[in-house]
Amino acid sequence: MSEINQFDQFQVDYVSRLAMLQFDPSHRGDLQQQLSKILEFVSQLQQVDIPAGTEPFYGTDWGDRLPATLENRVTVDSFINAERGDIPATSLSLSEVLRNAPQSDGQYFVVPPVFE
Amino acid sequence: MNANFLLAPQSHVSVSRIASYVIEGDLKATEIANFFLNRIEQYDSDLNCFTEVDPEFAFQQADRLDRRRQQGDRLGSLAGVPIAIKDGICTIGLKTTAGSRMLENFVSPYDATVIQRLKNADAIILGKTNMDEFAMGGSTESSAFGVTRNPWSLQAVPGGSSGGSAAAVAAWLAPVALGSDSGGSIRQPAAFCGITGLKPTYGYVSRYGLIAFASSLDQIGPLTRSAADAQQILNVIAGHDPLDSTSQRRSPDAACQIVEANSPEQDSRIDRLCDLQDLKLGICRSHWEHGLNPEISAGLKQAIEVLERLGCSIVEIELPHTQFAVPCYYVVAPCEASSNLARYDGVRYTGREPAKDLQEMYCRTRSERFGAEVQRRILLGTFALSSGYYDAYYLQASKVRRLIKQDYEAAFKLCDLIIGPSTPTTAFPLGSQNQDPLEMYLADVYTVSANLAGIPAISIPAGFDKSGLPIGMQLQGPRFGEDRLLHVSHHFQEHTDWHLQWPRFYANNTDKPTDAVQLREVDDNQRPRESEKEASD
Repeated sequence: MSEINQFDQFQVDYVSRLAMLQFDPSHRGDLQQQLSKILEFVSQLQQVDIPAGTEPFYGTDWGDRLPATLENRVTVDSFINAERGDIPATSLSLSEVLRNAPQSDGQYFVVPPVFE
Repeated sequence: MNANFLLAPQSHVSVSRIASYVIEGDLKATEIANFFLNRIEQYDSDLNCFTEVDPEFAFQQADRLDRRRQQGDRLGSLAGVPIAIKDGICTIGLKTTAGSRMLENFVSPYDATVIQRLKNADAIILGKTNMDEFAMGGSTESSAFGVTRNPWSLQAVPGGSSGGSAAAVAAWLAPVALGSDSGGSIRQPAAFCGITGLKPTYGYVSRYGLIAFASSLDQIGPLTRSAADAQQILNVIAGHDPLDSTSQRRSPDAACQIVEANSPEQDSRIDRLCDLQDLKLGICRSHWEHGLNPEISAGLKQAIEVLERLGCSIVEIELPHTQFAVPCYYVVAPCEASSNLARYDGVRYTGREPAKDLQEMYCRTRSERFGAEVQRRILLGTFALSSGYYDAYYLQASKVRRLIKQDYEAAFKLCDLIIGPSTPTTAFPLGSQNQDPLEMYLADVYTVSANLAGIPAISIPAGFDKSGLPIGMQLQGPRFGEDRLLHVSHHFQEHTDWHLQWPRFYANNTDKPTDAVQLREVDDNQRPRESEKEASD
C-alpha cells in the first residue's frame, strides 16, 4: 500500500485543521482507519488508463459543439456566458439576512473576538 | 363528492385528476389538504417521514386557493395538489434543516426556484421531509432528527438521502414529493419504497434554493406514484433559471431533436399513446454480474420481457468505466461538499456553539453540529483537494469522469435508453450498515454514473422480492432525454401494476401498523396484466 494512500495520524490532524474540525483523541484511531480504507478504495482511480489529451469534466462543458441550428446559436451563447449584466437588482433586506444570525446587533453578525 | 376517492388502494389517483377536481370545483383544496394532514397525523409517528408539518400553514394555502376559485380566478396545473418537500430545499415559512443540527432552527428568507414555480402552479406545500444529513447517505439514518422507516417494512430503511419523501409517497401521506439526487438519492429510495423517482438532466431543473452538497452533481426531481405524475411535476419545476448559472436554456423538445441522431420517427410526448416499436433498450452485461441480488435480476428480466412484448428490442452495450464510477464519485462529491459546507461556521445560519474566540467557535460548531458521515466526507474532500494531492485525486477523478461521460455518448449511438437495476439489493434492515461506510458507498454502483455524466435517469417499480420488498428498475437516457424515459416508463406502467401496489396496512384507514414485518402475499401465478390489455387493444 503506497504511503500516499494512507491517512497517518499527522495527516488526520493536518486535514482536520484545514477543515476546521476537531476530534477527541480517543476517536482519532477509528477515524484514521475508516479514512484510510476509503482512500485506498478511491485510489484505484490511479490505475485507470487515461488517453492522452483527455480533458477533465466538471459537470458542464461550456461551448459544447452542437449542430449549427438557429436554436443552438442562441443556446451556445448562453452557455459561454451565464453572467448577467452589471445592473443593480433587488436582493434580501438586512433584517431578512440577519434573521437567522445566532447573534446580531441589528447591523452585523456578532462573533467572538478573533483572539482572546 | 368527498375526499375519500383519494383512498383507492388498487387504482391510481393522479395529480392531474386531483387538480381537475379542484379546478372544476368538485372538491375543495382544503378537503384534499385535510385528507393528507389527517393521514400524516395517523401514520407519521411510526414512519417519521416529515421533519416539519404545519397544518395551519398548509390549510391557509388551500383556503386561499379555494377563495380564488370561488372568485373565478384561473388556477394552475397543480391546483390543490399537496406536495411534500425534501428538507434540503429552501421554503419560506417552514424550517429548512438539511437533516442537520447545524440548521435545526434555520428558516430560509427565500423560496427555492422550484418552490416558487410550484406555488405559481397553485400546488400546496404540505411539509418538509426527512433526509440524510446534507444529502450524504443512502438510508436516511444519518439524519439528526431520527430515522425514517420504510412503509413496506418498519424494520427496513426507506433508502436515502430522499428517504422521507419516498416513504411519504409510498404510504400516501402525500401524493407527490420533491427530492434531490447527487448520486442516486431520488432513485434509490424510489426503488426501496416501490415508487417512481426521476433525476432530470443536469441543468434542467434549477438548483437555486437547494442546499448544495455537490454542485456539479445535484439535481432536484419528483418522487411520485406514476411516470405521468412525474411528468406533471417536471413540467412545472423545470426550465432555465437566471438565478442558477448552471441552468440550461434549452426547451426539452428542441433538445431531444438536437441530441437524437437515430431516434425513431415517433412523437415521444408522453400523452400520446404510441407504441414502443423499434425502441432500442441497451443492456450492460457487467451491471448484471456485480453482486446483484438474484431476485432483482430475475424480476428485472421479466420486466424487460414486458417491454420486449411491447415492441422494444434489446441491444448489448458496454460502459467500460463502470467499475470506476463509485471511486470517482467518492472523490468528486466529497471534494465539492468540503467546499460547499465551508460556509457552515457558526456565523450566519442559526447553529453556533459557545466559544471564547472565533477559531474555536468555527471548530466547535462544525464538530458538534455535523454528524459523523458529513465530517468524514469533508475530511476526505479537504484531503483530496489539498496541495500535493489535488492532481492524484480530484484532477484524476475528473478525467475519469470525462471517460464515463464518453462511455454514455458511445452507448447512446447504439441504443435509445439503457435499462438495468436501480440498486444491488432491496431495502436493507435499519442499523445493518453502520459499521462500514464503504459498504454503503458500494451500493451506489448503478446510480452514480448518471450524476457524473449529467444524464437523466428514472427508477420505476418492477416487482417485489420474496419478503415483499419492492424492486426498482432504472432507465437512463441521453441528455434531455426525459421525454423518452417518461414515455417508456408510462407505457410500462400502462401494462403492469407494480406501481399500483400498496404496503397493505396503509391502504386500510383503520389499522395501525405493527412492528411485525408486513408481508405481501407473493403469488407465483401473479403476472402483470399486459396479456389482458394486449387482447383488448
